[in-house]
Amino acid sequence: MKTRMLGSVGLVVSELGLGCMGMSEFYGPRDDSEAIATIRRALELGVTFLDTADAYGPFTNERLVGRAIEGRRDQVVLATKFGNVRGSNGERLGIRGDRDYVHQACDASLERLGVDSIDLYYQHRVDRNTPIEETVGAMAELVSAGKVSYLGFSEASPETIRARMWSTRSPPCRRSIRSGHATRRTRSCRPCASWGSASSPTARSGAASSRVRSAHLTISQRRFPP
Amino acid sequence: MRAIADEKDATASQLALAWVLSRGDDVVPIPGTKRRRYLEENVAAAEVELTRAEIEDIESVFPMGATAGERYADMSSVGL
Repeated sequence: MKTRMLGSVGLVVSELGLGCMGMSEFYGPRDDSEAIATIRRALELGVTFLDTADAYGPFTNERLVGRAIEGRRDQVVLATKFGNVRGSNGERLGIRGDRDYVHQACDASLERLGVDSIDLYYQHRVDRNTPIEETVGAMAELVSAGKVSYLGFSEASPETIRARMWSTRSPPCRRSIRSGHATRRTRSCRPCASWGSASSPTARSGAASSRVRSAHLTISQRRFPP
Repeated sequence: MRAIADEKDATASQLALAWVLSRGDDVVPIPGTKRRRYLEENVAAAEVELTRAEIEDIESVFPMGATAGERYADMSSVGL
């Protein structure tokens, strides 16, 4: 399995990742033992970029991934997301990106995953009620605390991402990543990617600031639940 | 899509993944599956090389805007 650079600041991932969501929700009955075998087989085959989210399950998908990679942490580039708030019965409780929530969500994900740090941590959906500076600032604090290595955003438009990166004056994003779910309908991938070469003034205190870009392309739209 | 895939001795989903991979070195698909069988099929897609002519064929049978149906119920939060 070849690798690709996700953006320009050093995050190298297998050219195919593994989306783990369906192992816990949305795609019929669960079979945890086959799911864990699938994750471990993926690592054997070089598919080391694993993607999950706190909202998947909810919560159970991160635990499943954590079980599967126990003792194999160094083989994995681990991505998870926050922001799609769900209750323990699966109810949807909105989208959050406020500072307290970002910290709380990250700590909870680390605990469920059973790891000390997350390689790529990204916001699942845009929170319209929280200033961008606050969310990005909180995410940058996670990097400073060593809990997260790379940051990103999912489902945000190129305009929103651009606004985030240029408006941030809060603690530096050492590394950040942008993630666009592109479809054959929206073309949203290319605008994101083409913007990726711009520079970003997010480093108030002088830390290296740069961005990584990623694109989650889905071309099978009917089979793509939240 | 299946006809093009057959010529490549691939499945339609492998063709789709190969197409995504062909969009640029900055694109990393993360196909979801929960079974080893489909994982292995996906992994094999990384070995499917598409020629320019084949990419054009795919573009012609599956042009921009050709998709049908909604992605998910809460599309309202997408693309903000």
